[in-house]
Amino acid sequence: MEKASDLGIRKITRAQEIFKSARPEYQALIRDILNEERDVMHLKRRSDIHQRLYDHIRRVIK
Amino acid sequence: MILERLTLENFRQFRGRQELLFSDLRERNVTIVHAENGFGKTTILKALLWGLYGREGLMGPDGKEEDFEKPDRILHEGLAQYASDPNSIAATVQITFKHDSDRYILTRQLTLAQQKLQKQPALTLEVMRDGQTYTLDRPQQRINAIIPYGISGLLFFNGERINHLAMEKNSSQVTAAIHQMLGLRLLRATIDDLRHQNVRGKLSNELRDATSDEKRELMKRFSKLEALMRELEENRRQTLANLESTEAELDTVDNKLVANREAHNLQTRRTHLTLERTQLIGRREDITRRLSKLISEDGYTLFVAGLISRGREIVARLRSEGKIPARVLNTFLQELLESGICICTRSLDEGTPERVAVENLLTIAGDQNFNNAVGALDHAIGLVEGVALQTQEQLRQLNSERLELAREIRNRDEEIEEIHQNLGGKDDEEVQQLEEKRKRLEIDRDTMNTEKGRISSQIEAAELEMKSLQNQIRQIEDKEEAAARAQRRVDAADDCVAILEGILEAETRDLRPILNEEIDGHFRKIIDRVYWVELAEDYTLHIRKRLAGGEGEQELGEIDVALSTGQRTVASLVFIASLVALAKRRSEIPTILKGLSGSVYPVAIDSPFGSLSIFRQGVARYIPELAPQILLLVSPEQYNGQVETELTESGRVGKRYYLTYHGPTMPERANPALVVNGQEIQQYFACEIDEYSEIRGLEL
Repeated sequence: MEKASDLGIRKITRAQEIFKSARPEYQALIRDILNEERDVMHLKRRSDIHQRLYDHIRRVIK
Repeated sequence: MILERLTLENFRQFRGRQELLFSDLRERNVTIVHAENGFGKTTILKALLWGLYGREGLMGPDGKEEDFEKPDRILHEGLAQYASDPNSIAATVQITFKHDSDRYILTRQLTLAQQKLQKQPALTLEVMRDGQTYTLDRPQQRINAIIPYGISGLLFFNGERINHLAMEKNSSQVTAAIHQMLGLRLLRATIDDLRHQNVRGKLSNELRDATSDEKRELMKRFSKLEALMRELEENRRQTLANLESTEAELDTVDNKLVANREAHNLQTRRTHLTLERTQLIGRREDITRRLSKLISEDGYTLFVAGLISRGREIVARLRSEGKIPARVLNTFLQELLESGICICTRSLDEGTPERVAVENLLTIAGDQNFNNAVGALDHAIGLVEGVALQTQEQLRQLNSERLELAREIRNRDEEIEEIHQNLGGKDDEEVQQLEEKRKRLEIDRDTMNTEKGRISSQIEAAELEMKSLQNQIRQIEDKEEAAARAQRRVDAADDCVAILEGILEAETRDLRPILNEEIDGHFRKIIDRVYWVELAEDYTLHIRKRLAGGEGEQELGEIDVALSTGQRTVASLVFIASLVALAKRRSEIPTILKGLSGSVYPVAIDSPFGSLSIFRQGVARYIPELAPQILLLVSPEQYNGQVETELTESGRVGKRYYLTYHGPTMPERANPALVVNGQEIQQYFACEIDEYSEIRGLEL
């Protein structure tokens, strides 16, 4: 089993590796989407965020 | 968040204005409220939850109200009944707390008029900064940012019901708890939103409208599968909820049997046997895993006996024929012929008898590659033979252990069945009824477990089919630009979901060893034995121990300890404590998510010492370290004795309160006086015309 101390040695986390290997347009899309989500992630009402995510995808992917 | 003050006004059984100041000192971080059952302990916990989240806060994780009847009646019933103006009377909960060095005042108020019309209570959130008070917009959103609703069940809970976190079937709750407490909820919410019908579904509809008939047909099938998947997920959720309530009912029946004098011994024995049986099954599963590993890695060696003996024969024959080791190598003779000179310096030119003699030698010379290959073969045969013998021996040992375990499990089953027969045949009517109910619940539970397995396989099959359809859809290239663009957008939504899932999985996996170190540290403060708690790869909490063969003998491996309710409660508590500790130093733990700062959370527990049996003292000693701030709501029955001694000796109790009850009759099994630290205090006051509770301070 991996020890907690091993994680400190790794310069780049596994999650960062996954993100960096994604296509640049997806990286930009994910950044935008996460920024949108940050403020509303705990809210029950989701319709506004759904519309904003949909708009982001249409804007970035031409 | 550090709680400073809770003020209740006409909230449920608390009439008038009642106040509780929390201890906010690091070294005296425990606030205790002493109260008999029925005096209002749970109401205080629920007041905190109602204040923070409104009606939603009163619901359990399954959306049902927990320990709180009639959640729509918030206002004190006596006052509500005789109020002349429904707009002039209200129930109010005010919570004052500190967060990131600012002081906040949260006020939630529900008038009788609003209660009657089932309207939402009014909520305000004020913050004091630089001597000024500001009223904040979107108060519920702000509160959720400070203390998300999703983690409330881990911070404000009934201590007798928290053991569910350490049940194997609840690994999803454990994962959700990690996500919620350590900031990964952002990723989960984003994934769910991207998958939603209003995002992915809308993009998919656009593609369907723009694409070829062939692709449209595949998409139609995909949509049907999505609908089936939703149905299956709902069925699974329902089955798990039913299973949980059946198991809780079984626990209740078992407890009643233990409490019955006629059944006490047999039921205690059955509980013990059941625990042993679970442990034995765990060991058998462990051995089965080891057997599978052995067979998949070295099992082939058992089927090569024929090849080994044939190989040995060939090597022996080649050796007897003098072909290995070769007396002279063909590569050496070739070199001589190419150089044209023999080692004896004679010429080996074409036509010379010497050349003919050397060429003749080539017919009996050995090939170097052949010699090397036979040598390697001989060596490999030796190795395989050794592994085969070892594998055979290990298989024999594991199999005999497995058989022995099966025999022991059968013995337990037989004894459990015998106990069932004995209890079922008793003359005592209560025992008979309980035993009958128990049998029915057991059958229900097994049926639900089968149903759970069946649904899981259906989900797995549907997932596979959806994946294959998705690939087929992607492979059909659209000729029209609009359709191609629509496909790119659907692909982007799917690919982003896959990337985010990968990130979430990686972040959770990286947190596991850190959590395990934390969990282990906390656990050792409570249970001083050869056990340790582990958050396994599948995010289930286990208590493990090492098996040793005896003095001087080697270790036989590790096993899961079958968990009693007390052990499960302890495991759940240390898991929560570890999450609270990690949440505090979150900013120091590597993560891809920006802006995750450390957060301090309080923990409030109703009846913290109820289901702990032999661990009560250990938990009492440890509980001040559970979180930076602790609120304990305890009954005298749970507090007196070991808990009192440990908490008093720790010196960590900063504030102490008790609840008084005023009413025509005292709740069942309550005492009129409370005895705390040798001091006797009246806690029940007869009152013919009304019924209410009050919060009163106690000397430390």
